[in-house]
Amino acid sequence: VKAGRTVGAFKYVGKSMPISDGEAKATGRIKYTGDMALEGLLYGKLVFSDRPHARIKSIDVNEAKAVPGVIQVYTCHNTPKVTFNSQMWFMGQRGFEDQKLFPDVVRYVGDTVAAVVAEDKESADKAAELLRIEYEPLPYVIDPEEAMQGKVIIHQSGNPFYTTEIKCGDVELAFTGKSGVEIVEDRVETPKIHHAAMENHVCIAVPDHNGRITVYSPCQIIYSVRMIIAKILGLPFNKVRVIKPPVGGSFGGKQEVTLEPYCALFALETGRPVKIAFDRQASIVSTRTRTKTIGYVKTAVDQDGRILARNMDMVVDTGAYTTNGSVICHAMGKKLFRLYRIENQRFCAVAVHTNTPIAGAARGYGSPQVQAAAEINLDHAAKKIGIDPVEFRLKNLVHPFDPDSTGGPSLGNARIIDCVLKGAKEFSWHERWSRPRDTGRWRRGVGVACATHVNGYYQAYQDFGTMTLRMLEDGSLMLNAGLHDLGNGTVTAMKQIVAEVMDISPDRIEAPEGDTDISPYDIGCQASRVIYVCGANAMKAAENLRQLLIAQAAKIFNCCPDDICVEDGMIWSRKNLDNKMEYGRLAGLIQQKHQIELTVTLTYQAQANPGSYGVNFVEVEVDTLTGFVKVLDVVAVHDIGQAINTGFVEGQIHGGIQMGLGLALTEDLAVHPRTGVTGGNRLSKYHLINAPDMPPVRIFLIEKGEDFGPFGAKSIGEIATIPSAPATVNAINHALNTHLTVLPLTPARIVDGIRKGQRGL
Amino acid sequence: VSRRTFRITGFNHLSDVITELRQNPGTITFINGGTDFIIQIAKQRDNCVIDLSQVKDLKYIKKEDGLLKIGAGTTFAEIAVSQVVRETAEALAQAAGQVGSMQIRNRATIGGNVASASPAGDSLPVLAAFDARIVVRGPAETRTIPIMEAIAGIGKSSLKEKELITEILLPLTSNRQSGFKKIGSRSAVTIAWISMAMVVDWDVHTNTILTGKIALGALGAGPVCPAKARDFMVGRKIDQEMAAGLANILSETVNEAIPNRESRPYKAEAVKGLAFDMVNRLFGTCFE
Repeated sequence: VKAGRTVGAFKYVGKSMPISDGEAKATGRIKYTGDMALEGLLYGKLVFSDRPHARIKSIDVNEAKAVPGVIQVYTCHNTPKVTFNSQMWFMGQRGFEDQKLFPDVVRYVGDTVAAVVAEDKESADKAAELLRIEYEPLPYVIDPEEAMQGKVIIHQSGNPFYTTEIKCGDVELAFTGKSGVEIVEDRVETPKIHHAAMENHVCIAVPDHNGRITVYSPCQIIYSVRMIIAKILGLPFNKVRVIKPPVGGSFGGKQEVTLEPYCALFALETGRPVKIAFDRQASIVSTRTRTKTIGYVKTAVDQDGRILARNMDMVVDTGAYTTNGSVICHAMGKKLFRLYRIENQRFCAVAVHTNTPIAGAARGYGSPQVQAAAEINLDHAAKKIGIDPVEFRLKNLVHPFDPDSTGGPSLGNARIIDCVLKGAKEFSWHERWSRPRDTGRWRRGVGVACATHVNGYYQAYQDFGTMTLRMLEDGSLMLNAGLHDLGNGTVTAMKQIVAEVMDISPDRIEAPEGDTDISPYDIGCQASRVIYVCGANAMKAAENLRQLLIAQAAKIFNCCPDDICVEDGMIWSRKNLDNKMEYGRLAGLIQQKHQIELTVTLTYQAQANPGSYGVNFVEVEVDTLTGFVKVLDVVAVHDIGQAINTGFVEGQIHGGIQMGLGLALTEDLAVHPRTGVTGGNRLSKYHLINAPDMPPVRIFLIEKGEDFGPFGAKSIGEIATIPSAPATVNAINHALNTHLTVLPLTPARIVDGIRKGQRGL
Repeated sequence: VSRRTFRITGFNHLSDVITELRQNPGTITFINGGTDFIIQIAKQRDNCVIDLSQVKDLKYIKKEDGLLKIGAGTTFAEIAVSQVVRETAEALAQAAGQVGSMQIRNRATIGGNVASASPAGDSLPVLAAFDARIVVRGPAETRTIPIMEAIAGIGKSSLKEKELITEILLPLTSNRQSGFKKIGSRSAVTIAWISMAMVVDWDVHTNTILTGKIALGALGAGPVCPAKARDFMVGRKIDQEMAAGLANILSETVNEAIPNRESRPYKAEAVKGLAFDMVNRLFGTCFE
């Protein structure tokens, strides 16, 4: 699939058709995992540690077990001691395996101490309160920079447990004091954040008479869930079936394996189906969070506004267990080398454990954090050399088909400059930027930030999947694939791609979601790969099916394949126009006459990993007395190659901006520095940006195609959330003439910053 | 199977509720909109829950005997749009319109807000600034207490066993202006970090405050009504200096009310913003 060749007018691609299960969701007919009622369903309740770090001396379960309705109580004394890493998704992956279902040392407030399985929720709740747990307190550390000193031992891997470096050119040389070179340094802190999917974490496991177990998990990677469950329970993979039901949002929060092994263990042990349904507090504290980071950025720029060198030292706080703590260091670092032409650059990440909630995948996978640090620092640099931040960026941004300066995959058709030019014009950047500074109580400011993100794992990990596409005897199509629609319209988008190739209405296509018994292997919904890789897989499968259909039709019609015409679900030979028939009739004839099923199974390997690009322009108004920030206007421009479903792309961008504004302004788990208790542990204390506070968002798409993407498409889901946080922070600093770099910029931090600014601190 | 069980019952008339109180030997929780009760349901310990939401004689808003009388079962949605409330006690309409979300306001009642005694309860500073009185009915007697006496602590009212709030009384005068403002994490659907209600009687011709009262919410168990602000406002001309003076007094009030709270420096600054906003809203000025 070559860019340019296929980009253009389409019948189904690039259209805003409704999401396939949207009506069922809106009317409440859809069944989420939490809605599933099964005969004899037991209720599992996990019991969490109220200590930040302690050895469990004893757990007295007698009283709890005596509660009527309680089936069993599980602790570290009667459960598998297998260690695992919940972010692993393929066999042979290396990583620190430092988790256990029930550790004998709890490592954060919210760690799993025990579980009660009972006939109903009330009995489980009551029993949980009756557990008598004796702890031996251990020293603990909450602050990641304090953790770096290694005084508190959380795991055998030590603290920091991982360090990595990525570099190009000669950074040290570039920083040695040359005249006319400005060195700009910043410390940028980003918080632990909750994904805040509407659906809390939930799972059901059902055992059967053959020793098999079926797990319903609204997850992102069914094959990861299967692998981790099989490992912990010592089961062959074919004894574990994982089904992905409809999900009420994930944003990375359901990418790692969390509840599933507990549920599977309890179901196997009790011989009955078991449900675990987290409440909001447990979802916030005891699943995964966005990784907290502290970035030390240092950039050398010349007076012409050229970036000569950049160094970033990142402290990565992965919380109480490693999970993706080392993987994310690489993911962060690589982005820095794919947005600006910086000849001399070094990124170093130091990952630590702290006695805080566990970090994991979160929309952007480190990108929002690392690019917030970089983009805030760039505005600082622009200010130092007295250049317009947009001009400054334009001088340094990458160009289409630039190489990756560290030898990674080509940036592809990287259209960030187009994005910035378009956005600056639509936003009237120049006029707004050069407006005289406000001096009263309310101050307006504007900010800009750019971003890049990936399209899969090509050259980092194996990135492939298999799809089976069949034409049934009535001409309808069935796409079997390991799809995980996270509410973003993956299924509908796949239908649009197949529909475009097969020239058939998307209504005639079914594309059920992942089920390890039925779906061929796929590495799952991660790394912004689904449209670019799975979409290409679907497109290739459809092309092959189309060829097969045409070849078979030629035999039926007794003509050359070149004479076969296919349009709008009809097929005929141009030699005999009377023979025009629907796909279904032909499929039937092919079965009768040739005894052939119209089926294609295709394994597709990713061919490239271009960058997706985007920019946000933001205007804010800050109340200098209350510290409140009103976001007045956002312009978002994204280089997405080609939208498969324009409405979905716009939806992703609106939602991404909502999350980005939360990172910039309000969202923070706020783990207490002394107690380790998560302050923002419920939605009354964890502040999401809601509809009344959402600014108007104007979206522009740059659709210039991308090689290997289906119809030229590339990713949007993760990059959508990256630029809005730094653009907002930059706008606030522009409004206030401050230099605030600890996110989120809450009213309290803004008021404090203004006061310090007035005192000249 | 162990379930915490309780009986739930409801009535159409207040007299039937009172009869039930006299006859029921057990402990009783009253609910109206149930917006606090439902989230706290796990903590429910009483034998009986009486649902007041259908008691018609607890739902009214009327002007009578120089008082604004509001039935305790009146919802915030009703109060927010009531013409009578908007004309006589604008602050209460404003506060009612900012309680929780629309869904909450459709259920939650003013009586419930007082009984729940949340430090962030939006109606409480308004009632305090108006010197409102609360009518309380029990199985035997009816008593009327000042709002400040109705709140006993964080989340605790001073109601005795089997007592319920039936009515809220706000004294009215002419030339009265009032307003309510709050700051929370968001501009809507937000729990107050700090809130402010102000009631003033003023002379339009001389542009002078005759008397006024301010109550700050979310600083402790109950509203804080600084005497300093009251004294400061008497006979004060409405100008920039007055607005700034008031802002400073309220800032001091915050510093004194929560000397050891981590949020003190922020709230002491932010309250100045509330003070300016309030003066501007009440008198149509643009001081800052």
